[in-house]
Amino acid sequence: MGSRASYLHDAAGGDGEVVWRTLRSTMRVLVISAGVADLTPVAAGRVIGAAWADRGHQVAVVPIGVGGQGLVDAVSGIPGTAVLVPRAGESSAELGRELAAASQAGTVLIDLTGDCPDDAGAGLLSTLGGRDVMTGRSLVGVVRDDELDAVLLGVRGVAARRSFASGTPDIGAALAGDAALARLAADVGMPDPPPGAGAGNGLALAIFALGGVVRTGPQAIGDLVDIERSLEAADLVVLVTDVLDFGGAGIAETRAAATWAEHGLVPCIAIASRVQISGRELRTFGVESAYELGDDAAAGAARVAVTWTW
Amino acid sequence: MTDTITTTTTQGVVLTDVAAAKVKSLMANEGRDDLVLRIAVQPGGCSGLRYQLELDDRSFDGDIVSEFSGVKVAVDKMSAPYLSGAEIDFADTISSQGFTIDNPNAQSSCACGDSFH
Repeated sequence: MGSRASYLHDAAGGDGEVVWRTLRSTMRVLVISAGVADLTPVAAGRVIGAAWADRGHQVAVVPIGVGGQGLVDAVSGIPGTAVLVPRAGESSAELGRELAAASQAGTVLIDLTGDCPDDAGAGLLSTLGGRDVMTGRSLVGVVRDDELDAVLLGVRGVAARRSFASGTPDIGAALAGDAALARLAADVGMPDPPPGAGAGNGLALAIFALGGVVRTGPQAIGDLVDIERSLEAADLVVLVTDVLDFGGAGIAETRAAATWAEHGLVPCIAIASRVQISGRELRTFGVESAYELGDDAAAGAARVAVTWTW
Repeated sequence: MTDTITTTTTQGVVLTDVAAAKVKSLMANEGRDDLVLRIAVQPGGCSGLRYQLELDDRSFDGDIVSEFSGVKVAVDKMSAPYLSGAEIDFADTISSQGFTIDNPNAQSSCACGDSFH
């Protein structure tokens, strides 16, 4: 239903042959899902996407997560990908063992968005003992938006930030910590660590030392699923997130979806359990409108799909 | 008649005479004459970076130490790039009292006077 066939006579068919190409007869809707209420990113994406699919449109669902369990859930359906979550309060050595054990995964994501060990990856690298366990595989440190360019050393570096965050900032402690981090960086062959190496309490240094990169959760997933290709075909981007408010909930997901939509030159709307942000603020992100789902996610999405169909 | 204007460029911090007198007074209150005035930059504050001023009896590798009217001022090597040319003064007026820092490296400052970017 809802199909509207059009045809284009392609004059470039060559040698007098008439070539007919079918233009899109339905919308293509890209659902970027971070989950809603009790539904995982994958499940929520299916429920919301069904609202457009039931109207005869093509739907692709990309589950996303910025970190924590949301990231684990989002990546769970992507074959050949493993997510490792460091634990604070212990050395990163255990993470090194887990990384070595995850040899079947073509891509390993290490979640650096939570509390991370404070050894800047020294334990991890020591455990690997110089073994290049990532040959032919990809290693990605998943970081928060605001840590993409976090520096390892200096006034804005890990040791200075840690000293200040302690509540009793001490320049002596900051300098000693900074010097230790500088020695570690030099030891792993990175005397001038790149921006981002300070993410995850400095654990990102080990990621770089192993040839990896740092990305936000949505960026990492976008790379894994080649989202740019889907964007080229999309007519509408629908972000699904649980809460969208001015306090920051859902903002990282919103920013990611809106940025993708902008790249694809298509509109972006948001659907959430709760929306507590004004239309004006939403549009500064590039989101056209945001809708609350109500108690019945499927019914709520169906109402939105009626409006956002052409 | 020709006016001659002399401009002095400094690579470190500058402590005004008024500020130096205040620092001497604070050290005298503590009964110490072996302290340095340490100025450091720390992350945080409303504008991203903030100053830390303290009387310190420590010295660190790479410290840049200058002396003004008998008062030693120390800047650690991490903070030094952010404080080149900064002037530390002491204000004692009806509207403000305390050390002030005029830092040419600051792109913007907060009204709190303690934080800059």
